[in-house]
Amino acid sequence: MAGQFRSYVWDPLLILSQIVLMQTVYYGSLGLWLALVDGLVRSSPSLDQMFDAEILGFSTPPGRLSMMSFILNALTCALGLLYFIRRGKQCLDFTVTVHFFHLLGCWFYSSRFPSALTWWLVQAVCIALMAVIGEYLCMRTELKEIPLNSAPKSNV
Amino acid sequence: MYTLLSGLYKYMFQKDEYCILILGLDNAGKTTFLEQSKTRFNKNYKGMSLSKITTTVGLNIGTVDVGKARLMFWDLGGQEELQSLWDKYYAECHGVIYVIDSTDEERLAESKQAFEKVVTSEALCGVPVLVLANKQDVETCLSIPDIKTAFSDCTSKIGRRDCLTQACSALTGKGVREGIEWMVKCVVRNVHRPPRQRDIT
Repeated sequence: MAGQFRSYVWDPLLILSQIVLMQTVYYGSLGLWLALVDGLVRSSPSLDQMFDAEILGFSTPPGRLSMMSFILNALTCALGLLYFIRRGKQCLDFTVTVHFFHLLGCWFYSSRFPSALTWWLVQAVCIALMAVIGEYLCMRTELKEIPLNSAPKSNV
Repeated sequence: MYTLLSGLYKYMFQKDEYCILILGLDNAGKTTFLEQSKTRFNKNYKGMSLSKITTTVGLNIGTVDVGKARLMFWDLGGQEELQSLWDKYYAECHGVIYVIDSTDEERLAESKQAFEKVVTSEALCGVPVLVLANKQDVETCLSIPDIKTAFSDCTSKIGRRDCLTQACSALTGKGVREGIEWMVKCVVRNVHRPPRQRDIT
């Protein structure tokens, strides 16, 4: 049977591997940003910065640094969406999925549901940034014109 | 996550989709048959007035749900100039309904010629064919045995495929349901052409 143009068939294995990959990208790049920021201010890196909802905030330097890392991480993950998801239509889905699993991670790590308003605010900003930038980048790729002739253009 | 769960839901509950071509000479009653099928199988479908049906230029598309299958009908124009387009649809289809005007004895040879081209096409190898002897409500029409006799030398060319000649009247709806139910049975069991892979992401 001839395939249809741009027909996407449900592939659970692909979707699951994309979820795992995006989660890896999320924590990998967040770890790198935190390490970089901690290195700049000579602070000792800790898992609390990643998973403790109470740390994030404007009042303390570690809180501000963590917030900055989360924001920068959203930009990095947008590139992850571009390289591993490639579909603008699915950017919001994968962004929310990544942050949902992060919520579960924080809940498990702290043994309590994250209630800090700042934490929720940061996550909302990160979701918005990651989804919008990711979608923009994917759309730009999707809307690239398809070259119809492979031969180089001759100067007439 | 949404893609995964919605895909799972659709995978479990969405019907298998099959594409059926409705072919035949112009004025054989293909569009009337399509409209009658939609009226018979779609509960809420308010069919267009059959008297208002005109010549098909291009194609008409209709979807009908029969049990666990969803049939997508492609009713192609039957005029001589449009017949050259038929083969463009063969690769994607799961079944063929070939409509014959039983009242038009003069064009029976022409219809047989067109039918021969259809069944000998390599792209339609193994695809079930339902031959509808339409307009059986008209008294002067040819009977099924008459049509089978006229088409007798096509028998060897049909090859290994499901094939049924069915009397019907697209105008009154007689034989429409039986024909479609037979077609569903055939396309579902035809392992050589699995249902269309739907975009469910």
